Parts: sequence; C-alpha cells; structure tokens
Amino acid sequence: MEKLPKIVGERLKAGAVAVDHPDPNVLSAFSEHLLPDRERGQVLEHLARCAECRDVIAISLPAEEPTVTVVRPLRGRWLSWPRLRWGLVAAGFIVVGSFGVLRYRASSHAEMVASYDASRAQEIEKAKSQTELPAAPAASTNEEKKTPQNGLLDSEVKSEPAPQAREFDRLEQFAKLQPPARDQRRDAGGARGTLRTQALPHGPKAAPTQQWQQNATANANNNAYAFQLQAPAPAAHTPAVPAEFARKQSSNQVVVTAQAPAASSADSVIGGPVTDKKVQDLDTLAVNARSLTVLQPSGSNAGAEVARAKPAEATPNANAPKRQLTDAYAVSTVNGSNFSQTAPLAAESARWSINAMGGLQRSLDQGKTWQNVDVTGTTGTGSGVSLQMAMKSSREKALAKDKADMKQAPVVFRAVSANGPDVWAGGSGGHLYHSTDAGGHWMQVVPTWSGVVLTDDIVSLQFADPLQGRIVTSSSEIWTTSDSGKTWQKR
Amino acid sequence: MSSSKSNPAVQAIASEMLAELHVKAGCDRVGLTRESFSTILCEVGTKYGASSEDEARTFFLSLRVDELALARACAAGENSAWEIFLTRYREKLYLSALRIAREDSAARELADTLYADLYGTTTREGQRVSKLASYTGRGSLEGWLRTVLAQEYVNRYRRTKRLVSLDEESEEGVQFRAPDPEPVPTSDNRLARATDAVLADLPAEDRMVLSAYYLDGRTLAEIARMLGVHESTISRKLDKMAKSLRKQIVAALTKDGMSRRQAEEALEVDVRDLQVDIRRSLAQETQPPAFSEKSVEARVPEGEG
Repeated sequence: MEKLPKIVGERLKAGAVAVDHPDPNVLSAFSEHLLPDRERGQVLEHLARCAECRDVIAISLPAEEPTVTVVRPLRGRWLSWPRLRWGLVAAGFIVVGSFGVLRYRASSHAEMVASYDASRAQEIEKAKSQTELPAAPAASTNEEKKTPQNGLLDSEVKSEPAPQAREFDRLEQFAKLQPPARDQRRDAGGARGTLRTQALPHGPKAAPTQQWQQNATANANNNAYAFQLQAPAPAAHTPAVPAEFARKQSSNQVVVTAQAPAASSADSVIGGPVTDKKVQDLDTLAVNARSLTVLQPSGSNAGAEVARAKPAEATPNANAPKRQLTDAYAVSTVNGSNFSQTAPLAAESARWSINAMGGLQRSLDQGKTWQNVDVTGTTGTGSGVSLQMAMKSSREKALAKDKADMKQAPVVFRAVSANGPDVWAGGSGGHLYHSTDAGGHWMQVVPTWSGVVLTDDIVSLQFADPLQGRIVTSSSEIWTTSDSGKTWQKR
Repeated sequence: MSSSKSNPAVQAIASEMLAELHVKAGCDRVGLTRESFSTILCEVGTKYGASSEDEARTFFLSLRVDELALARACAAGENSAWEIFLTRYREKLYLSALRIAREDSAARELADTLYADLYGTTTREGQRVSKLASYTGRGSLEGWLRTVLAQEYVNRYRRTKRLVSLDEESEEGVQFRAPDPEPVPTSDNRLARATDAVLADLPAEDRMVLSAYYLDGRTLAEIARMLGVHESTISRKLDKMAKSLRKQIVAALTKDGMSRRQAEEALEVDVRDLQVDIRRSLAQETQPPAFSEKSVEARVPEGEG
C-alpha cells in the first residue's frame, strides 16, 4: 500500500477534537447502518475527528455474525444465473445430440430396409429370368454350387424333366436324412416341397416395413408368375421330394430349411379339402396360438399342408397351382399385416435374450413378455453370402453336409447382439443368423476366411454398428467383419 | 423532557400513530400505559428534530418501538419488563462485555457496572435514574447496550491508562521507548496549510478511514465492518487516497509558490518517513553464526586428544 506522507497523519491528529460525542443511540444506529444520510454524514464527520468514538464503534461491533450471513447466500447460489446459464447450455447440447442420434438411427434403418428390399427385388428378378430358361444345364450338373435362390428354383425346374430313377435315388438319400415325423408325410412332400420353395420368396413381402407392404401386390404378381411356371410339377406326378432335397442341399450351406418348424407345426395339418377362408382362419389361428415369429413358418406349413391335401384327394391338377398361389398369398398377407403392426415396435424397442434352452427370445414390450423366435422359419440368404457359397471347396461341402445333419437338432444360441433393427444371433456349430428387420426375417451367415469356415460354437457377439462386428468362438477364435458379415477376418 | 417543548408536528403524528405504535410495541405486556408511551414518543421525536410531519412519520416507523417500550418500562421499574429484559439480554450482555474486555473478570466487572447503571443507582430529585431511560429506539437495544458497554470500557481504560505504574511500563518496554521526537519545525507553514486544505476537501468518510487506519491502527476488516462495506473497498480507497493526497499536496504547494522539487522535498523532509528497518539491520549485525569456525577448530584437537 502506498505510504501516506507523515504530514497527513500529523494534521489528522492535530485536527482531532473530543467534544459533543454522539449519544450511544446514534452510535449504535450508525453501527447498524440505520441512520439517514444526513445524520450519518454528521456522525462520520465526528468520527473523522474523534478517536474515542471510533474506538467505541470499533469495539462495540457485534461478533462475526455478519460473516456467517455473507456465507449463507453463497451456499444457496445453486440456482444463480451463471449456473442456470451453463445448465441451459448443457441441456441444449444434450437435446441436439440426442436428436441427431435419433435421426441417424432412423435414417440408417430406412437405408438398410431400402437396400434389403432392393436386393430382394433383384433376386426375384434373377429367379424369374432363370425360370424362363428351360432345363438350365447347371441345375443338372452341380446343384451345390448354386446360390440358394438358384438352388430353390433349380429344384422347381428340375422336378419337371428329371428321370424317375435318379429321383428315387435321391429320395432314398433324402429318406435317410429325414426324421421319422417327416417320413410319415413324405408321400405328400411333392406339393409341400414345392410350396415351401415358393413360400420363401414371400419373405420380403411379409417384411415389417410399409414399403414392403406397398410392394406386396407387385411381389404377388411375381410369385404368381413363378407358380404358374412350376405348376406342372404336381401335374406330372413327379415326386417333388428331390425339389425339397435340392433345396435342402443348397440350404445346407446357407439357408436353414423350413423342416424344423414344419415338424413342430405338424399338428396344424388339415386333412380334408380346405377353402381359402379356412386357410386364412388357420393362419389366424396360427397367429393366435403361436408366437409372432413362428407365425410365418407355420403359415407356410399350413399352406403346404393344404397343397399336400390336394393331390391326395385327386383334385384336378389345374387347381393345384392356383390353390398354392392363394395359400401362399394368404400366408404372406397374414404375416405382412401382423408384422406391420408389430414391426415399428420391434424395430424401436425390441429386446433380445437367450433362454436356458438356448432358444432365441424377443420382447416387444420392454421385457414383460418374451416370444420365442425361430430363425429358421424366416431364413433368407443374402447375395454376399451366396458369393461366398459359390467359392466353397468340396471339402467345405462335406463340412456343410455334416452341418446339415447337425441342423436337424435345433440350434443352441449362445449370443445375441441387437443394434436397433439389426440383430445378430450366434450359437452352436458356428450358426450365425442375421436379421435386418428386428427379427422379421433371418439370413444365415457362414463366416469364411481364406477357405476356413467357422464351425466352432459362437460364444460372444459384438456388433457396435450394423457394419462392424466381432465374434468370439468357443476355441477362442476371433472373427471380425466390417461390411455387415459379407467378408470376415479371423484372428 | 416536558411535552410543552415538543414539536407540534411531532405531537400530532405521535398522537395519530399512537394506537398503531402502542400495539406494535406491546406496551400492555410490559405494563406501559398509552399516556406514558405517548410522552416517550414525543420526547424521542423532538430530541432528534423531526421537523415536518412526513419526517416524523418516517422517524416513528423506523423506531424499534417494542424495545423502546421494554427499556422505558424497565426504567420505570416494571417487574414484568425486567423479567423480559433479563431473560433476553443477560447472556448477550455478558458475552458482549467479554468480547470487549477480552478477559472474564474484567468482563463481569464491566457488565455488573452496566447493570447498576441500568437499574439506576443514582437518584435525581429523589427519583432513581436508570440509564435505560436514555434509550430512544433508534438502533436495536442490544446494539445500544454494546455501545454503552464500549463507552464505559473506553472511559475506564483512558482513566486507568493515566495511572500505569512504572513496573508495568517497564514490563511492556514502554519505559525504554524513545520519546516521540518533536515535530520538525518547517521553514514555513505552507506544508501544513496545504495538507489541511487537501484533507478538508476529502469526504468525512475518507478522513475517518484515514484516521482509523493510520492513527488508530485498525485493520482493514474492522474499518470495513464499521462502515458496512467490503474489506477490499477500504483497501482500494486507502491506496487511492495515499497516492492522490501526495499529488494534491504537491500541487497545492506549487500553487503556493514552491517549485515542484521543493514541494517534494518538503513532503520527504521528515526523518520519520525514512523506510529504514533499524530493528532488522540491528538483528542481522548482532546475530552470531550458528557454528563458528573457531569452535569447530577447537573441538577437533579435543577429539584427537
């Protein structure tokens, strides 16, 4: 502090007077700051000259209570303006950030659905073009190297001109693979197998998005076209089991067949003549009686059973394809309507878990109720996976055949990873299923890396986003993908 | 104080507000009649010179009428009022005395002296005169009691200061203190005049702050509490004043005919302005080193021997 010239202190002292002290009332009122300005000025003037009264004022000050009263407001400043201002800024960031995240998720979901729809449309187109070619040479030579879609259609086409002897050989092979429940109904397998192969293309039509619903009519037309092409299959009384067998062979590698759900839905077989109305009723019953996810396979089975009943009654063959078309369409309609009601919920809020039996479960109501999800019934294949399939070696085929045998037993799931509508589920024997529509449809994915196929049990699945994923197997292998499962790297 | 000397405006307002203030003061509780309370209000209002009716109304509303009634009832010897007073202020009075005297026995003595004054040991015209009768309700009764205690303490201290024994002085080291040097006679009174003029221009509050800090040795915190401002305000004010006073005095001196150099020399001429810390320099000169070389040298042969 600046030093005061000594002369100032001396003159202050010289100017001091000690007369007319204010009375204690005025001094106490001064201390308590209760005096009006005029009186306060008078008291200050006196205090400037009177050391005694300054002393009195100084030593009569109360204890440190005012300090306490100064501190208390500081404590209560949680709602002061600066804090509120920063709080508002932080809240604004949170709101903007969450809005951005929601927008990103919504847009990415829409893109995924659109791309899936487009790929399905391409496949259908491709299938249509192949069915127009009579007796494709590849069909008779090497069915295993076909893509799943090609395999399916091959079976349909091939069932027409195939020689009886060869068909019976395959039938025998197929009989070995079939479980006893299947053997009882093998006689009707022709129509059924055919219909199943037809039911699969309906997958996209039954998909949860509205876009697919809008495309339903177009798809139905496509399907109708496909059905008419294959109509001669039952008419020629050719056992269509090879068709199913062919499909099965192809599905050994990629697609899970509808056999398991078919076996489980064997009780829904109807023996007598069935009308369209009945089929729809049956589908509705299936919807009510079973969980949502089993609905589609059960629906397709019902349609298959209807179709199977037709030749048994020697119904005019011309009716069969019509019947099948109607049934298949009814199935897709039922499924489509149900998914359209539940899919938005599923996409946004579906929860996934694995029960004690290794079954995949989904909850659409925040975990209050859980529905078993059958990934095999809604299986489709992606084009990326098909390419992998085409590159498989014969050794892998043998492996795949073994896997086909294993497939008779239900898959025991061990890990599930959901990222909005993008769901991955993995389990025993390297089974890996992928759904991009919150479980509406499933594709089996076979991770392959430089000729090595993932066959160990999948014990952990991590998909940070729809593209980036990581799998840990029971043999501590780590498989990663960065393109939604199209290609894989093993570490 | 008789009512005949009362200001008519104060009387009018006092009678107008009597009913309201009587209730507010709780006079019934302490046994104070309306008439005596009216007399008290007129006396207080007249004493502090409320001239207009508005001033008088504001003044009466600012009074601590409840404490005024209590104090005056005590002064009048009302037992119920004394009970309330003792219940409310006995402990506070002692704590205030302890804070002022800083020692228990002195604090009790101080408090007892005040109790005697409050009760009224002196008589005037055959009537006991209580100090509480001088309370006017301008500040709180507690603040008034502290001020009365402080006044009593300051008066007593000043009385006893004159009777300090030589032993006490020697104990405190006062005896050996160099006497304050006589003020250096200046060649003319121009410096004193210029300083007085500059100080007279200062506001009363600033002069009070200067006096309290430089003459009384009060701390910044004490001065701040006396004036009800923050400590930093006083610090800034003092710093600013010390700078501006020097400039203003130099300016006044140059205006009075001195050259700037002469004026600055006149300000610095006092030897007491020298910033020499004699105590420290003396201590440094006389302080022996912790281990002298001699003692170390002396010890080595002893160890060897």
